[in-house]
Amino acid sequence: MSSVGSPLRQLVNRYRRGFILIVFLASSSVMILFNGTPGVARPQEIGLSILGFFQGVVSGSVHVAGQMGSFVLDLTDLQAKYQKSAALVKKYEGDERALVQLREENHRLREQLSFHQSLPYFNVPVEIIGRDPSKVYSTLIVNKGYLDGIRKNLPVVATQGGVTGLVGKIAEVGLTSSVVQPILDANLFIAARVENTRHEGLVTGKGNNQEFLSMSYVKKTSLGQIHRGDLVVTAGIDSLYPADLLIGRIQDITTKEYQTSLDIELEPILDFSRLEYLNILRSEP
Amino acid sequence: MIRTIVWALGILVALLLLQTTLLSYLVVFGVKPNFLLLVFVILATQNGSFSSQIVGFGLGLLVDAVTTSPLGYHAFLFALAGYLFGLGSGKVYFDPIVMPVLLGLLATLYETMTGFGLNVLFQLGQPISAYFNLGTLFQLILNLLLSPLVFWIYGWVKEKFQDPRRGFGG
Repeated sequence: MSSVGSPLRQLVNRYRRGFILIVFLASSSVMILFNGTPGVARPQEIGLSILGFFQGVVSGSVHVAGQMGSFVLDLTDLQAKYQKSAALVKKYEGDERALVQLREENHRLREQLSFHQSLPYFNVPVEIIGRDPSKVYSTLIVNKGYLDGIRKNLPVVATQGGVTGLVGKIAEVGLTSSVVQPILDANLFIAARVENTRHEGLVTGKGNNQEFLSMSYVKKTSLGQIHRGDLVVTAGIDSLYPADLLIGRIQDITTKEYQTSLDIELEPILDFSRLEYLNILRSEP
Repeated sequence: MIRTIVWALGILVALLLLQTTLLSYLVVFGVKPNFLLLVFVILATQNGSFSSQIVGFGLGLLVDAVTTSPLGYHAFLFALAGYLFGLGSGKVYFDPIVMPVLLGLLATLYETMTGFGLNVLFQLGQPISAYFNLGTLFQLILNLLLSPLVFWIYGWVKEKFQDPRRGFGG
């Protein structure tokens, strides 16, 4: 037994480095090939559930530390601010009319800004706790998951400067965290249309670090009708995204003689580098 | 050797958490330096191919879990990197600047080329411009500039936590 085992063991020992590498590369290749097949995504969800928890802890700690720092700084300024506020309160105390006007204005602003009231969808507010470490895949990790009712493929939006735009969709769901696939991703395709002319097309990203989108399959006959600066919104054709959510603004239109459609470059309506809070839309509460 | 693997994985997982949270805000010209890759290749050149490919495979799977990349993509990338960069173990003298910079250069080029190769081989649907763009060049420069600093921090941590009898993690 040992005389048979020894040469084999020697061979394995001699080439064990290469042997293990081949096993790893083969396993990785099989996983890539069967990516998206039911059951294969399960380890990814488990990994996300575990890492998502720690990401939440790290992100939360950083947030708390930042807040504590700002509290210390704020304390130095507190007295002056308090005195200013007290003076302002005195001024407003006798001014009933101004207060009513302010209330009305406040109400109007709330109506404009309150996304929850303006769309026939229920939204789950989430905070970004992580971003993609690699440069090719542009991923956002948010602090709510399966336990909060988040499911795969739910649309994600955000409001920036009073404008609500599409961020992407939920790609993976962990227990307490989820992965958002943003519209910048080259593998996410969205049925869209030019807002004013209603010409349809397909919007996709160009990969990470390139905050531009491309819109294709827009008919060449629309060339004179669409212009730089026109808004592009979701078409609402597929069941994933509600219609008329803002995606971006036309930045450049190019046409080639041999093509029947236009190549349109879009600038996203949202600045993805400044996103902090998102809203996940769902049709049920 | 198990100790080496556990140590390296522990450091890299902690760094992965930092890279996806705190360090993700460190953006220069729209580009983030890849600290995870830099530290991984430094560890690989210290620990050798065998343990580094195991660490790389495990780390890659974790990275796959928190990104939209297909499961196995980063596992492949890091396992192969562990093997290749581990080949240099014990054969390279590390000065404070030139070797770390060279390592940063090779690691960034490796990540871009291998990532592109996997994209072509498995038809992952990423455009060529996602790999070869101005951002890649900026990231290369950033990684080159930060490599000596990362190597210096690694040396400091090693000195502080090294067990004189058993070595760092082994």
